[in-house]
Amino acid sequence: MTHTKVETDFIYLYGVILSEELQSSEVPVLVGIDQKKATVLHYKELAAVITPVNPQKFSQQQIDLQLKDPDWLKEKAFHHHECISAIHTHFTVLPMSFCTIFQKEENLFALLNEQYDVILQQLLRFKEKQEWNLKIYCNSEQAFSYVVHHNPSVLQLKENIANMPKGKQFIMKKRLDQLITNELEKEQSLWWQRMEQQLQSIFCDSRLRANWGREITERKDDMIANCDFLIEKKQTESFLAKVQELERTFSAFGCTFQVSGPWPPYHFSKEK
Amino acid sequence: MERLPLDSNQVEQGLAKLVLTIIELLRQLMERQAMKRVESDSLTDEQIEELGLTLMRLEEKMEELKQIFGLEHEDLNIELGPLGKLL
Repeated sequence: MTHTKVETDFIYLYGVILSEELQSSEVPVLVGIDQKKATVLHYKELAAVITPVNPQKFSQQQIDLQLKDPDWLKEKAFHHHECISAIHTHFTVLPMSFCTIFQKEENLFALLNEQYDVILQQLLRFKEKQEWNLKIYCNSEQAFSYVVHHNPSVLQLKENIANMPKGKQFIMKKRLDQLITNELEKEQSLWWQRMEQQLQSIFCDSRLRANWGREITERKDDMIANCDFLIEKKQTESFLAKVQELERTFSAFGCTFQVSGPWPPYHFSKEK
Repeated sequence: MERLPLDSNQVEQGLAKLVLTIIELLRQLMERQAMKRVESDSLTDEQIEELGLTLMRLEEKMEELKQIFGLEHEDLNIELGPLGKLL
């Protein structure tokens, strides 16, 4: 691999891999974020995948400015992901956040030295594993109808209301609306617990993320779970089969599943 | 910021929207207060019945007023900027 960095360039870090894995595979040829070739810097058992970048174009001040430009951000963030994905195809990788930049090689080495054990442990944990994301959406009307027709507390209150005088009935109907809303929330949380329990034997680790609102998903149903799973490569088929099985079971409640992956372990790279 | 239109044909509609929104807010607050009283078991069956009938008539009256002024349920709201919507 050619070393194209010039003295004044900053260093853009894509991620860290295990040096030993470079014996069986080569880092793919990557054109870096500033059009210069990506290279590798070794430090003990670690190897940092980097590319030189222009100090003016990639100064903190300039980046803060560029981040406000959606086109620049989209293009560069996509490039960052593409490079890490290409590295992830051949190596165990600890991906870095977008625009992780060092002014000098010494600063990068200082970080690798300081965080050596943590980085190495993380990489060993990620060996032969991939990240998968599971998003579960729920059709409110279908879920609402399920709760109205099957939830014992709701059914009980409905039965009681039928025999009440008109005024009390009015108040209790309002209470019923509240009860349905609360029970629906409880049911959905219970559904997710059941799903996670069934996936438990397949994944190594999981991270529950915040659900996205409709303004982001642009869907008519609501996201009720957004979870990342760290899964051994050899368990991929079992994971996908289990998700399909869960979707068959939970479609009766209005649930739709969306799986994406394999991803580099983005959401497991930061310590809890 | 909600502005009342100064067009003479629309001013009545705008004012009705504003007044009905305030009434709707008060109605919902009363309803919530009533629910709390019922849930705390501090009312007799007769009191609950009377309260329920009053709230029911209030809701019916609101529906009538909305119809008269051609307003939908979604119209009865005020945008409070960073605080979100009133109702």
